[in-house]
Amino acid sequence: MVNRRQFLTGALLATVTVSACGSDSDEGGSEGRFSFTYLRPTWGPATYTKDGPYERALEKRANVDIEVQIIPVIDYDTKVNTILASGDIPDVIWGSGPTSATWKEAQDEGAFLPIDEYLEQYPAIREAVPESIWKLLKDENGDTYFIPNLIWPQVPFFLCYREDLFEQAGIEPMTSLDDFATVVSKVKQAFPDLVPFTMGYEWSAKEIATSFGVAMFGWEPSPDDPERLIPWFMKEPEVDLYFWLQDLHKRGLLDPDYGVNKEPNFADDKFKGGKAAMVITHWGTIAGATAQLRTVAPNGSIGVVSPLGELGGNRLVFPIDRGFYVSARMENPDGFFKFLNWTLTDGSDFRRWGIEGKTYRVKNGVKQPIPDTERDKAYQGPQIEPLSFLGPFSEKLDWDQAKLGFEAAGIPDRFEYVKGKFEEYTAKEYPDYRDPTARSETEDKKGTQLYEDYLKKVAESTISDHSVTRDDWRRAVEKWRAAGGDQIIDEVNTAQKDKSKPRYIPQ
Amino acid sequence: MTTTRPAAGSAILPGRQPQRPGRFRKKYVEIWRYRWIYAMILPTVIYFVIFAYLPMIGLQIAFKDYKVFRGMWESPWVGFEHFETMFASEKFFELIRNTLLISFYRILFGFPVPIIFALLLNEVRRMWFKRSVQTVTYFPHFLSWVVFAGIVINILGPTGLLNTLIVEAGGERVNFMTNPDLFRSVVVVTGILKEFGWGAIIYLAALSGIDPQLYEAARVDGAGKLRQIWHVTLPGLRPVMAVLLVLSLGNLLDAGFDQIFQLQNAAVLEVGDIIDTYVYRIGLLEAQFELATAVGLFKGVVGLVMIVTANHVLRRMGQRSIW
Repeated sequence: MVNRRQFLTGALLATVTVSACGSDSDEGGSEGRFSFTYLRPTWGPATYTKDGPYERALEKRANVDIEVQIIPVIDYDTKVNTILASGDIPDVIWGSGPTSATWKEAQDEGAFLPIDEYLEQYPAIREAVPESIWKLLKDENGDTYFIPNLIWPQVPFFLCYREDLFEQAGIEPMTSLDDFATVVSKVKQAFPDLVPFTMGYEWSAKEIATSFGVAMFGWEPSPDDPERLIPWFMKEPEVDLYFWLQDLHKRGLLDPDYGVNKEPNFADDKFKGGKAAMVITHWGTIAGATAQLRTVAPNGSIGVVSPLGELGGNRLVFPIDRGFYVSARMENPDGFFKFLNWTLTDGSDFRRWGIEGKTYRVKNGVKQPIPDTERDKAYQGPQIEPLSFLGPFSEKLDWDQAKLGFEAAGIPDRFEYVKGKFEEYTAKEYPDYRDPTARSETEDKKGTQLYEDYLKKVAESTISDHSVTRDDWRRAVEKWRAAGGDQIIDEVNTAQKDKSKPRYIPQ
Repeated sequence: MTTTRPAAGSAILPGRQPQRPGRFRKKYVEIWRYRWIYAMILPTVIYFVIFAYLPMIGLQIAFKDYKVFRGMWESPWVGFEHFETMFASEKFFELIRNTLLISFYRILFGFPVPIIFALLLNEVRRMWFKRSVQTVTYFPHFLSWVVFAGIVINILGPTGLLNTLIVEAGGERVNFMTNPDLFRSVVVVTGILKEFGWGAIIYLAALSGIDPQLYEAARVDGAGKLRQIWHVTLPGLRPVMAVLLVLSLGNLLDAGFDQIFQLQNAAVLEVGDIIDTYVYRIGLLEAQFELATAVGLFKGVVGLVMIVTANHVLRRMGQRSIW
């Protein structure tokens, strides 16, 4: 007779055997497929569901198995730092790249794979990124590790207004900084129940900053010495911008929720919900915002104020917003680069358009994306974004796609108007002169602490804290400089030989 | 000549010690006797060893230039560099001041509230009312600070409920959330509101343990309700109050990261930035884990000193202490 111990041992063995068989059969289902783990941030809602139909279609076409893990972008840097600290990283991991001290250190410690040989082997990957950017990403030994996520450097934030309300009250939009407060005061008087002017955070004012003649948060040549770059908080016109905004806030012309509401989209939401008369928002959101506004104000119409004054233009952004590394411990990196190459060659059509009838339709022989709101949930953006990798720079500003967006929103006639405003804004360029790969040892070591200790208070509270004065600002900068800031400026200027105006857009 | 006869069976042989049950054997016998009781506590011991004591090995990175991919053991030693960075920071004393003040206000105003609430609730005779009040007051404890702070901002924010009422009544908007003079009060009051119901549970349990005969005796002696509370209830609660006070002193440098992180904004940094929020920004967002560990170690040591001192003082005062 079998005793209890023998029975338990037998049961355990049987379980192990069945589990082993199970895993064999799983592998059999995707036999010969290359598999890898992938960690990335998502900008859209984090509602990705594993093994959805889009994922299965991609994996079948590319003959891969992708084990995706997503983190909402707002939490990404914090969480990925913890993952990095564990030393156990996935095969492909998104990060800030060599412009960040943390990632550069990990790169130098051998955490990631040098990719130059794969770039030679798969030219489609190399060609997707401008040569000037590849050059920028090389380390001191001439090796490349990082595959950048490219963005188009012209991302103007439009100063938008409720065209219908302005017309109704007979108010003309502002044309310069001088008449800005007057116009907003008239709006406040005419529509006391509305927030006259709102914006989400300081960065929203980057195009207004150009009217002060500066590239917001950028290093620019010092007025005394054009060969010496200085950081943003030392530029007088940029400090002027802060106190100009403080004055608007003090007079009740800027949203009182500014600086308190932590929801990143609160300003856009107020405007789209018909609760604000003016907002600063990303140029690409106009079509969607109009459609949403019309659900609460059927005659609502959004106008765009032209750049203010003669100086007004566009604060260019660095054309890289994160990117990804391949782990040095990945077993078969060639398999991954083969897949990446596929997404840019044979799989390019699938990457751009997806599945006919699900993510796009063909009308008069032309492919048109199906708006997310009309798609089955399994094919909406949140299911597709986690599976995206590298998009070529040439696809980053696509007017045809933008036009389709306006058509889908039911305002095709506004497309040319918005495109015209885009061209007005981008006519004058204000880039950050600092090469982000020009490192300063002092900055890497204690840059954050110096900012936290001396500058954070003035830099982040001047607009909403009316007690902050110019003297406070001056004292904060002096302390920062004395505590190591001057050393940072020297080291950056020494590391960066070329101090000419950078050009991010290929001519 | 008088000789002493050794007791039977206890003859001392040359080179041998007398056979008597040793302390260890006695202990062993006792443990074996209660082995199943010890077995029940074993998972807890294992839990603390794995999750509380073994991770302390990682404290070494507070003294190292931590290189993630070289690992904790291979990273070079830097001595007290991170502690020097921490103490040299201009903000350090501001952070200590804010942390201690907020914790002190929490204890001063927050400690008596659950006691008073428990005393009041203890006097309620209608069970349905008592249970309803308990449920309503416990509930906020189960909300995360993300949610509760959202509610607070919706009430006290510049366009929140209270300001809407003030403006509608013809008043001026009050910046409750951005006014440095009000911020600590907002933190302490909202913290009390969220936790007083939960905090009262332990006092209600202690109240149920007080002998009813003591109340009867007090009544016979002519004591009214307040006298009964003063002479019977509060002395009955005193041991629990002492233990909780000691434990709360151990957390003096934890002023409540979740709450302050959610309610804080740049305008109130001078009065609302605490050690934990600063360490989060410097240590975690910027991956300076060594500095974060150094600050954590400093807080741990201060907490230990506080708790040992408070325990000692309580013992000297004749109160029940933790050990």
